[in-house]
Amino acid sequence: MNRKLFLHLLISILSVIAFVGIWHLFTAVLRVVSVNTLPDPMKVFTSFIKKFSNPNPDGATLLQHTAASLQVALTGYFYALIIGIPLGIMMAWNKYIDRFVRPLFDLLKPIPGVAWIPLMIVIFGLGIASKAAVVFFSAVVPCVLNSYTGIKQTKDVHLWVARTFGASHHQKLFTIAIPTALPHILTGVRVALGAAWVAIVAAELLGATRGLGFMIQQSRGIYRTDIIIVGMLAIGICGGILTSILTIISNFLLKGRR
Amino acid sequence: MRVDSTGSVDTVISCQRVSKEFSSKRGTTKVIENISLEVKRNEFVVLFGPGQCGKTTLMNVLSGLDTATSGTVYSLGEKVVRPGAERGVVFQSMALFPWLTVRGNVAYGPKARGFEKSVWIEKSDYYINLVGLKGFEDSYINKLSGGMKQRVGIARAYCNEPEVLFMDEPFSALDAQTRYLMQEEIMRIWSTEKRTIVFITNNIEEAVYVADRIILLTNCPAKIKKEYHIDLPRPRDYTSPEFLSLRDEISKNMDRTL
Amino acid sequence: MKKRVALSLLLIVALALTSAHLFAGGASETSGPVKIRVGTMPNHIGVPIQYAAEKGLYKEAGLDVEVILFPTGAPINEALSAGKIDLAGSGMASVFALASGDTYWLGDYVKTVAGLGVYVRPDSPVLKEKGKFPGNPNVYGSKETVKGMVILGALGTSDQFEAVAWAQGFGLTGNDFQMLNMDRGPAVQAFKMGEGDAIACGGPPYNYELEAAGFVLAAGLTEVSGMDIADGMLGRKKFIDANTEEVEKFVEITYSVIDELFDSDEMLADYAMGFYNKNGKNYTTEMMKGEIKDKDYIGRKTISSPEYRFGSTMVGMGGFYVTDGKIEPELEKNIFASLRPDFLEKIYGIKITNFTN
Repeated sequence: MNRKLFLHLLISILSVIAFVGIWHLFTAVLRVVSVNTLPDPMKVFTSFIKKFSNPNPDGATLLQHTAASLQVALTGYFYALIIGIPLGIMMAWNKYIDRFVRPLFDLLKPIPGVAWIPLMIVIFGLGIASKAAVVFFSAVVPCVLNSYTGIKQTKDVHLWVARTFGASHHQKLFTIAIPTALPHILTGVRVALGAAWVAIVAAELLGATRGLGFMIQQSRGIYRTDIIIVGMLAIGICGGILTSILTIISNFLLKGRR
Repeated sequence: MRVDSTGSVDTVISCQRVSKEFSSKRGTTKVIENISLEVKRNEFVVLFGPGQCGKTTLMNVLSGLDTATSGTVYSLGEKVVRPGAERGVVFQSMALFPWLTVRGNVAYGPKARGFEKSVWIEKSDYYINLVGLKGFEDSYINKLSGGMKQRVGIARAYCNEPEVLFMDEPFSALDAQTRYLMQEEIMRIWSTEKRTIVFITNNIEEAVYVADRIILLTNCPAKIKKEYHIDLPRPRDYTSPEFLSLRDEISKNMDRTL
Repeated sequence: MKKRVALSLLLIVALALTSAHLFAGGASETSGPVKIRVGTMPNHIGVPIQYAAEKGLYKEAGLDVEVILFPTGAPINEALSAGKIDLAGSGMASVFALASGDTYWLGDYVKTVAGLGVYVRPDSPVLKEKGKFPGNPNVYGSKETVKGMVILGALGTSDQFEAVAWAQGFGLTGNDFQMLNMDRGPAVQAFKMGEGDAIACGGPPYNYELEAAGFVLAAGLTEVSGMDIADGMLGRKKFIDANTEEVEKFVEITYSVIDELFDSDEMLADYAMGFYNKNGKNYTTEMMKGEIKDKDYIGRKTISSPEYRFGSTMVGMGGFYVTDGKIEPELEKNIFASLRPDFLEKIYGIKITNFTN
């Protein structure tokens, strides 16, 4: 069992090594494209390490940019959770609320969060609020949709059981429907996190003074592809860490179900 | 008027000239026709009939989960219009809550009705013990075997302390071995904690093994064809000549379905 | 079986359709004259190139020139880096391309006399401070008032340079204020709506628009940098090395437009206004007059004079950005190495000895 695990780990690491190896071959060894167009892995690695302490060329260190992005992304994201999840639940639970909200929601749903950027900048200016709003619009849709679907999974027979136990409508929602929906709600929470993270980077590309998206944008016209790749790596790593944290939380919340 | 084993004569549940029709695009189907019956306190009544003859519909009407097209159901002298805590149901599909532990499932009723924690712990302890699941209090449902799940279903219904317990083919999904065992178990539980039970089955041996009284229903629409009082001493022996002759007699009177 | 064949065919067709454009970039290697893709902007920098292209002057000389317009110099750099354009008429962003070591600087052709600089609102605390800028008492601001400002402008362009040069005068760096990246048009709109503390102006027509709105020039670029600010022509090394003859012709024709035709202000104004307005700018005659005053095209006369210093803007800016941390120190030598005065020497039959090196 342990040997198998080791083998699997080895195969996974191999893909990364192969990728970096090919990258190194085409850049550092063969120099197919200019170092300015695509720097070699070593250069990116040193830039990555340097960026922890060096604010050049964009005015802030990697951690400062990451913190700025996280702050805005998490702000918008939490608003999306506390509004989106209850909204999805209410829509699924009460058909009048559903009728009332649905036309508007269906209209706004297909608009990608990023499309809100120009309007949000006009309304909220270029500070945190506009970017948090863009993140909110990106993250709220999966929260609503998944919570809605989750509640709709509630089995009639479970509701009957609750009724035969004398549970009130309110109790049925909180003790039957929401527990049933929990896996879906948590899926929505995870999807929304991904959407939020994409949105914040996009929003920062368009108007920001700090953040990973801003760092990438700063490096674009000035031949600093290495910093662009450092930014991409940071985005990937942060997204990965956040997703892992959520997975741990949801595994804890869903323990015993599988 | 028959006097049951405890000497009590009060009627727990009764119905008069109950009929039930289902309407669809293809027309109206009569599922139950003109059924009147009375169930006495602590009586073990079996509704027995062929395949799809409307036994479950009758149970739904009696328990208040469904309403009759005509006729009236009384529970402790009051008209039944909706499910209530005094009428517990054990569903064929068990309908346990997978997000709760054994304890959470069993204590659901007392909790929903607002009992204090010490009370519902005590009650659930008692019934978990009664059905033989001591030590499994904190197990989640999906970790349990079919027989154990059905024990949880019974304990959950019992724990709410209803006046009458409806059991809709509770053992039909179990393998033959477990089914025999559970038939013995339900007898043991019932003799320890006497309750009024309305038990649905299409298994003749099971019916004769558990019943005080068997109500034989016709094929669709279900009508009462005949009633049998089973006075065999308990625990009953499946192979005794009395058991076998009763079984044969009821079988002969049962409608054949394809 | 039939289904699979049909599906594979469909896949092949889809692949062919979707990947066609990926290879279109290499089409310049086909027969006929070499295609020269030139990136520039719909402003004073683009005027001579656009003029020559529109009037067919390149074609007459046997060149196949395609002009592609960009909003600022930053995307021009990206296009050069990606090999999507071969030559460019661009502004100060060019210094980053030169520092990369992948491009040559072919010559400056338009000099800014005025109009570039950082503007603030009339109630800005910056305007209460004057005379603290070393070397130029007319510049507003102080270390305390500039520090922490939010300045709107396009990153990697002269906008950023203006702001950084201003801050450096007070002993600050580009990291002591926040540059909010926006294209120039949107930046002016946002500043009017109350965004930011200052705006780095990208030159005409935005300076007229800002002045008309009552904003005040706190720091002119020529004052804060002490440099001649000149825009010019650059191109990819690979392309220039492979097509020296064609590039020489291109440079010659572009400078001939400046020498022969733009000698007349009226003619220039007439053409330029049409070009700008076609590209979504609303120029008035007044604005055009102002621009002609603020921007001087450089041709034979200037270049032949002994005071002319080839590439001085780029070299000066390079040093400046190295200090500021936007260009890594080891890349500064690339800027010197990128200067190619030989094209202009040949065209004008002169020897340019006087360039910074």
